[in-house]
Amino acid sequence: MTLAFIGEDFVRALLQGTPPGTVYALIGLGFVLTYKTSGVFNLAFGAQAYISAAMFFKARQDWEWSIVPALILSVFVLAPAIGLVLERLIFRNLRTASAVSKLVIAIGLSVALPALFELLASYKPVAGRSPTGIVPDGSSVFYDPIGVYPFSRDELAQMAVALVGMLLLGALFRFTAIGLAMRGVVESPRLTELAGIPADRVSAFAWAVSSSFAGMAGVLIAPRLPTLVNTDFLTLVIVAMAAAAIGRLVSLPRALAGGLGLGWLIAVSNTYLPRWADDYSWLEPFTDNLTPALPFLVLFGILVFWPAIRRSIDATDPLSGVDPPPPALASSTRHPLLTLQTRAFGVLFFALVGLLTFTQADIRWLFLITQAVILATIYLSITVITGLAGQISLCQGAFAAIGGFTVFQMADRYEMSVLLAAVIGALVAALVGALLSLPVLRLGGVWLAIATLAFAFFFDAVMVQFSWVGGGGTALLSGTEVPRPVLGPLDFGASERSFLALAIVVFIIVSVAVIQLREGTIGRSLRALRGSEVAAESIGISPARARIIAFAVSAFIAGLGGAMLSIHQENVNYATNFTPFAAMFWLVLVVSLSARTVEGAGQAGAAFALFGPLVLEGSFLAWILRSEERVPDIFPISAKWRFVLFGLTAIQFARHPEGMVEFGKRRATRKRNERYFARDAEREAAAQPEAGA
Amino acid sequence: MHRRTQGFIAVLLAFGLLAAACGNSGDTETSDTTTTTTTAAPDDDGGDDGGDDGADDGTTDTDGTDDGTDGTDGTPPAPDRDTFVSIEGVPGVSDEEIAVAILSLKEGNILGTCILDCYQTGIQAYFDYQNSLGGVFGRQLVIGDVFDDELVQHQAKALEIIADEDTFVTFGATLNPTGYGDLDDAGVPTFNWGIQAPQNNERFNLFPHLGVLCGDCTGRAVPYQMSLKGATTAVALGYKISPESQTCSRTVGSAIDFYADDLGIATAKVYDDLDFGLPNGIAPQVTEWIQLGVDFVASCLDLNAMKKIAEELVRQGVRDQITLQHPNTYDAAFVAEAGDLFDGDFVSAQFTPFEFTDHPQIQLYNEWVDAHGGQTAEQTMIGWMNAMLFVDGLIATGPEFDRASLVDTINTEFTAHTYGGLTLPLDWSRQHVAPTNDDRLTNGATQECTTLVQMQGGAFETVTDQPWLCWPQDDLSWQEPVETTFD
Repeated sequence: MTLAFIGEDFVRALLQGTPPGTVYALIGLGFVLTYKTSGVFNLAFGAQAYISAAMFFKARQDWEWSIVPALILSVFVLAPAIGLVLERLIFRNLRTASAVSKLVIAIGLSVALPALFELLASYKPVAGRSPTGIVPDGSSVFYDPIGVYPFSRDELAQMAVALVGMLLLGALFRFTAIGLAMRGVVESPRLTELAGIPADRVSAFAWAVSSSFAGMAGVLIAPRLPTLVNTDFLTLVIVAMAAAAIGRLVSLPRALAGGLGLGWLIAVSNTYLPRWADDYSWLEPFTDNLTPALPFLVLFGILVFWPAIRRSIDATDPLSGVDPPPPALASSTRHPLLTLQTRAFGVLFFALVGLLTFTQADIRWLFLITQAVILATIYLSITVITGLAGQISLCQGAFAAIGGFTVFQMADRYEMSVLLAAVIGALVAALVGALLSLPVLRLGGVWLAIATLAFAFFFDAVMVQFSWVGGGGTALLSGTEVPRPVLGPLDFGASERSFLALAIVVFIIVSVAVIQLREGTIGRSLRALRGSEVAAESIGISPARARIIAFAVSAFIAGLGGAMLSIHQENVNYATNFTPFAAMFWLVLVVSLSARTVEGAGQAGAAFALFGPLVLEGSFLAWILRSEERVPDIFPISAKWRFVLFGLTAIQFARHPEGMVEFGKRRATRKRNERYFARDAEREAAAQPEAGA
Repeated sequence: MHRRTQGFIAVLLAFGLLAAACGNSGDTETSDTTTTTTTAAPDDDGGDDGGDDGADDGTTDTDGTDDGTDGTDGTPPAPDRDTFVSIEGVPGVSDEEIAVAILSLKEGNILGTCILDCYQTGIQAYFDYQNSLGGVFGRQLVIGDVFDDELVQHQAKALEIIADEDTFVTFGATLNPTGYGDLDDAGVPTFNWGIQAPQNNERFNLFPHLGVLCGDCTGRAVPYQMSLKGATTAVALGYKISPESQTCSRTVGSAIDFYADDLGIATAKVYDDLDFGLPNGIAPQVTEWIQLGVDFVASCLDLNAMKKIAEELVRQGVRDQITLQHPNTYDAAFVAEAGDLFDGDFVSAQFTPFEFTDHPQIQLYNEWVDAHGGQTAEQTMIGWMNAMLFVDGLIATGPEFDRASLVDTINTEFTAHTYGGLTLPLDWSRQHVAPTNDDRLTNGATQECTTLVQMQGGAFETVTDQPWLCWPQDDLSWQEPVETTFD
């Protein structure tokens, strides 16, 4: 092999990595643009890009519009319109909200927006109908200036827009008043208003610009995808986060370079690693797994090992580190009589539901209710990490999968009791959680969330493929099957009701443990840390210890729940249950309802498992009307509405970080408390004269 | 340590100890489970008692293709399909109709292919045809409930079917069939698009359209395609995320090497670790193929990935030099959309290809699918075939039928069923269990057969005079295939 040959290969690899690198760069630039102009770490960027790409696709291929009007509609009308709506209805009121609040809302939007668009526009992906680009014959005409690797017209357009976009946006921020104003509004809207700058208009303009860029990126990226599907955009966004991270969310040139660098790194590793593995067999495991893992390893590595990245967020958030402790739970401020009434109602309600379930429910409803209970158990892990510790973890699905896969492996290899295996799975998940927490502990806030998301995608892309995790050949023949447990005379495989009872028992045990944790030393330490880390340390609280414990406990609970879910379904069913996207939806659900309470986790579990069958499919309405025939024809309603409704509910997180349920409880409790305490006061007042007399 | 924390740990420890003292369901009661499944399972002796078992069996009239003649369907002589006997207590069966359920995928189909709608069209078209003959046992065949599993709701929907108890059998076509185990456990006969071996394996109430397939059997189809093209050097491609795809790529690579001396072919490399959807493209790999002198690509990927590969071959200027073998691209609309991108590539259909327009079953299919306003698609044909096996089985069962007797009839008496000549003979007394490369005959077909069509100008063309190419299953030495039809 000559040096010249190696050189040509290397150059070719760089050229081959340039088109995907440009895609990452475009998204990275979009991230930076949105963050600089709105202060939002916009995980919904992919959703916005997807909507414009799908609109362009529909206009071009279904309506047979020409390129220019389709581009105007999708990029210069629809995209900024979405940006303006988001700004006016959501983000205008959140300028001073925490970065974490904005992130949660962005996650909610990333769930809701694509589903909403698909419902409104009746868009469905069709196999093989590749999107066309913004230049004629974009994918079929190639240019090869140096005779090594040709680029298509579409790819050249991508590169041109990325480069020109970076230059124009850089000039906008550096040399124009509006650019400076946009950054000023993000840093301090009040100050900019005092200077006579209309913050609302500037913010609206910023959202329109960044949304148009997202739309343009989407339209440009789309021709790379054989079929236009939303999930592809989400994955691209996660990969491109590394590019934005290299730009520390503020530097456009670095984001561009980061995106290109990532594309080159993947192409070079794809070119050379397999060859080296042919010569050195010990390299094989790395070649098999490194390429899919690269973007997530890069992202994770940047977050963990580059201190400057942590400071970049802090620098733009003047209130960072001053997070007022969350208010007391409604349940802890209740009048004793109200507490008694609530508990009596709760006992009555659950007794009635339990009676109906155990005596009337058929196998389908038993399955769904059991699933709700087990999901509620998993959601208690979010209660611990988010509700108590105030951290956003997006890898709870991976922890749950660890529990499920451990049960599968233990039962398959050693015929171990699945309940014992479930506990081992939970412990393994706890160990992984604790280990993961060590490097990400210092991150906090948004970066912690992103690091956990990188881990979730790493688990999804790499770990699941290992035979000692996902099963490999065993799974090929029989799937990841898991048996039901036997406990003495109780065979939980024989009766769905008995397994539901077991799931309820596990939920109660974990709930009690979480309440104990919340009210105990660790819970109080975590609350103190949320208020002021420095003050907490000054009274002897170790932030590292408290957070490691929170992470480990949270992972333990998720692992236990994941194991129970696998036992319940008698299969791990990873793709159905535990993907990163599913875990993002879990988080949205729990924080929307109530992240701090056991009830919140329970309600989120019920919402996930039962909202669709009960509400969207019309079962509840049929029950009320006493006939399925009377249910209007609009039922069953598309399951996508579930994503829309719960995704949009997350919008309320910034105003009510305690969740909608807890907010409602607090309001109701306050009114009743006033009445009860007033009555108490009257009684006391009435008693005092008598006593005086 | 704080008391509450101690309490927390104590609770977990107690739970762990309790868990350690227990076992798993089925550990000691395997025989009970077996009894449940074997009520519908074939006899161990291959179904000799009471049924017919070979190519000399009498042929039924139900497929409409061979009235009054004996054939190779392996189905017993049909009783009078017009005999009406009132039946009570059989789900989905009234005096007027037999209702079935469809559990398939529409929302959330990541491939973007037509699954539920096309599959339902095939079933409905076949039911229309059968109803035009007067129905079965005095009853009309109707589709009762249609469920969309939305990719992740299959098990819940399967349980809904079981709970509702208002349909007789279930038809299934999906990508993520997590509920097949429940349907099988509940004794619901389920006719399905059988691409998932794990979910169908050893489940005797399930009827995947080609039986349970062997994942790692050395096949001769790809080496034969290479020899047809005069190709010498191949790569095999599989997805890392899918064990089926991964194993398929390794198996194809081994098969090419197995016949290396006979055909002068070789596998240059097996890529069994590709990312689903090829998100980073396939450029470095194509460059490597060029350097390795590859002229044939054997693939275990989806149709969208094949398009990406073909486009990259065009870009690197080697499209004319490298032939692609497509496992999943038998989709007329998809290929038409691609234009001449796939010219010269091979596709294997899972049934007698539509291009054999003289085939009586294809003619019948076209007639009724056209009448129904449906499109000619792979999934439509799968629906048609599933419906045909159901109706054939029902008629063979006789007018006093229920789920168990239907399953029992198919599993014991249908020993060479060909869907009216659409496939090679399937023996349902054996083919509920996945064959292995070491033992291909016990649970596999008696012949190894494949179909072959070529793509040209955005359409499919036949390569052979007869729809099927077959090799003996008990002799793996290289020999030219025999062109066959199973009419």
